[in-house]
Formats: sequence, C-alpha cells, structure tokens
Amino acid sequence: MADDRLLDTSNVALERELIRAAAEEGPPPSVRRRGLAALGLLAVATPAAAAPAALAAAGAGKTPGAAGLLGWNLLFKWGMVAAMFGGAAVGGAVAFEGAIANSPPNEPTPVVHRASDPEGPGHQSQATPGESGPTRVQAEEDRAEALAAPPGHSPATAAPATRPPRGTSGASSIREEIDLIDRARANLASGAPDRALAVLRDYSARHPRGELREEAAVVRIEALRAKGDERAASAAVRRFERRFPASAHQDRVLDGGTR
Amino acid sequence: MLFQWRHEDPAASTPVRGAQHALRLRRIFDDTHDLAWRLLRRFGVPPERVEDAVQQVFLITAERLDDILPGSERAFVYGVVLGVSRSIVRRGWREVLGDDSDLRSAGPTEAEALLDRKRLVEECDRILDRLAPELREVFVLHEIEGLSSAEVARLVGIPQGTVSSRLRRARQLFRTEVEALGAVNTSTEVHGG
Repeated sequence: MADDRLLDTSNVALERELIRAAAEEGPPPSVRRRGLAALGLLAVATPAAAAPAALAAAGAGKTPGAAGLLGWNLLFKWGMVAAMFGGAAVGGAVAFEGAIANSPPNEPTPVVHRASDPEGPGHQSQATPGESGPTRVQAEEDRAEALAAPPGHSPATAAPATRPPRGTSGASSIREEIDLIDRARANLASGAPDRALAVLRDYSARHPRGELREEAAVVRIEALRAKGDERAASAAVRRFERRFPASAHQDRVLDGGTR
Repeated sequence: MLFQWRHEDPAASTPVRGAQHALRLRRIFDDTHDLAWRLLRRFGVPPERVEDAVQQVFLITAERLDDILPGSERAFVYGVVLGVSRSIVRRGWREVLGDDSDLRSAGPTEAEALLDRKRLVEECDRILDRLAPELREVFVLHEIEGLSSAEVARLVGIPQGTVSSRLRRARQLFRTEVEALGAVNTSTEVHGG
C-alpha cells in the first residue's frame, strides 16, 4: 500500500474536504481543562524550558530537577486545598475502569483524585470597595488582571511553575498560605467575618501572587456574605466569575445568590 | 493528597516519584489529548460519551505509566484509545445527541463557517458509521490521522498486507458514499434552487 493519503491525492474535492474537516476537528478547551482536573494535573506545569529535562529524568528514573520538586509542591498544595474545601473543590476518587489493562500486582499505582483549578491557581486580589476604597481596589484589580492569563489560554502557560520565584521556598510559602487560609476559615466558622477578612488582607499582602488566591477569593466572598456586605460580596462574585470562569468553586460561590 | 499509593512501597511512594509521575503524565496529556478525543469521535464513540472516554484513556495511561517506555507514549495512547473505543462501540452506544455549544457562542459569520465545518465532520462520521469497524479503524488511522501503513499494522496488530487490503476496501466504500453525497448536494442545488 502506498502511504499517500486521500487528503493529498484525491481528485474529489468533497472527499478531501470531509477528511480535512475530520482531521482538524478538536475538543473545546473546556473539555481539556476538565480532563486535566480529573487527573489532578491542572497545577502541574510543563513549561517549554523546564519540562523536557524534568520529564527525561522522570522517564529515566533519575533524580528530578527543580521543576519536578515544584510539581510535587503543587500537588501537595492541591491536596491541602482538597482537604480544606472538601467536596466543593475535590470530588471523590475517580473510578478506574480497567478496560484495557491492569497494573501489575506489586506496582504502586496512583489513585487519582479530582482537583479544582481550571485556569491554574488563582489570580484574585483581596481588596473590595467596602474595605479599602476604590483606588486600592482598582490598583489591585489591575495587577490581578495583568497576572491573569487571557481566556482560552493554555493552562500549561499559566501554571505556577512559569511564575517568577517568590522570596520564600515553595514548600514553606505554600504552608504559610495554607495556614492563613485555614485561619481565615476558622475565623469565619467561629462567626468572626471581620477577622477572617483581616487575615485574608494579610494573605493578599504577603502573597500577592499566591498559589491559593482562588481559594482565598472564595473564603472572602463567604466572609463578606457572613458580614452582611452584599454589595461587596456581589462585586467580589463578579470578579471571581471573570477571573475564574471555569472554576470548580463557581457553584459554591454563586449559591449565595449575590450576583 | 492528590496521589495515594495502593501498595505501599517506601522506595516508590516518595514525593519525588509522585512529582515525576505527574510531570510525565501531564506531558503525555498535553501531547495526545486532542488526538485521543478526535480518534474516539472518528471511531464512533457518541459525542456525549467522548469526554468520559477520553478521561478513561488517561486514567488508564496514569495507571500504566511505569510500563510505558520513554518515546512510546503516543503509541501507547493510540492503543488505549483503540481499546476504549472498541469497548464502548461494542456495547452498542449510538449517537443520539449533538453538541452545538460552539455554535451558540459564535458570531453570525463565524457560526456559518463553524456550521459548514460541523456539517462536513458530521457527514464524514456518517460515512464512517457505514464502514465495518475493522475498515473504519484502518481508514481513520491512515487517512485522517496520517499514520503510515506500517504504523497502522503495528498498532492494530495485523499484517501490513491486511492493512493495505482493508484500506483499499474502505477507500472504495468511502468514495461511493462521497459520490452519493455529492450527487445529493448537486441535485439539491439544481432542483432546490
């Protein structure tokens, strides 16, 4: 058989067009994001410069470089987010239907959990008109917009590994972020939304490019609602929708009805 | 934690290994996701089942990651897609729904172009639906995805001569359907206005 394809050799235009259309069809970006989320891979970056070396090391079983360790930190982060946000952020374990092959009995195999982060870790500023005044809000929003990736961009290009390094090491920084979000949630749970908002302002100041900005934004919306500041909450919800259009937290955020 | 280990093995279940695992899986996903989606569609998996099927493909890939030789990731995904699609189609799923979400979000001119494209894809799939599964697989892999006959033979697990004969037959049937479709369109244009 010659390896010529009808796409190149057919003298029937309709035949070529049918094959071309089928060959060029692709899934909507949302399908890809959901697939990454189901595998818990949204936070795992493969930047063009770092990925080949890290992956070569992975494939060859060598010690990974910084990219690999960062990938673990991010996995750790989303695991902690899962613990904090429960069902809203993380679904149950994804069922594996071994239609093709089963893993060897002694092979340690990963149980993949769903993760939330359709656009990568968040881009949300923490200030609102009700708290800080319009000037600061606009400045922070502008900064957040500048940091935020455009709609429809590749998650890989927006993933945290491509961001400039922060002052603290990845693991300790993430731990601190988690601590702050935990404290905010604890304050909120104990009926102290003002204290929760203060902690979140602290979070925003300490981690302007934090990995957990999306989660901080969710807690903040809940705190504003708990405080009874519906106007600020509505504004925060609109910003959230704009910056995290495919967020797994959307239902949770919108449940409050303060759009 | 995103990854738990079913069989505790201190040497293997370290954070470092988890990171390597995730990075490699992400790379494979980035490289083959759209391909897997398209192949599942062309192999006859109904639209409403394709997303689940794609996830199944990558869950299997994740499970078997350690068994995949570096450099053969794409071939592995091809094979899993074949198996998943056969499994689904064999269970008798039928295409019953269309997805017009891309059309709803497009402007008028863009929507017309998308509609034309969408109709072409639908016609192609309709023709493929009429091919026997073994002919369809070979035709899709070679004519639509551009694999060589040798690659198709390795992937499907048949001799290259069989690939050639199946492809020849599939081309004949495809052409017959295309000509019928062209005749219908020409007839519609002439008689319908």
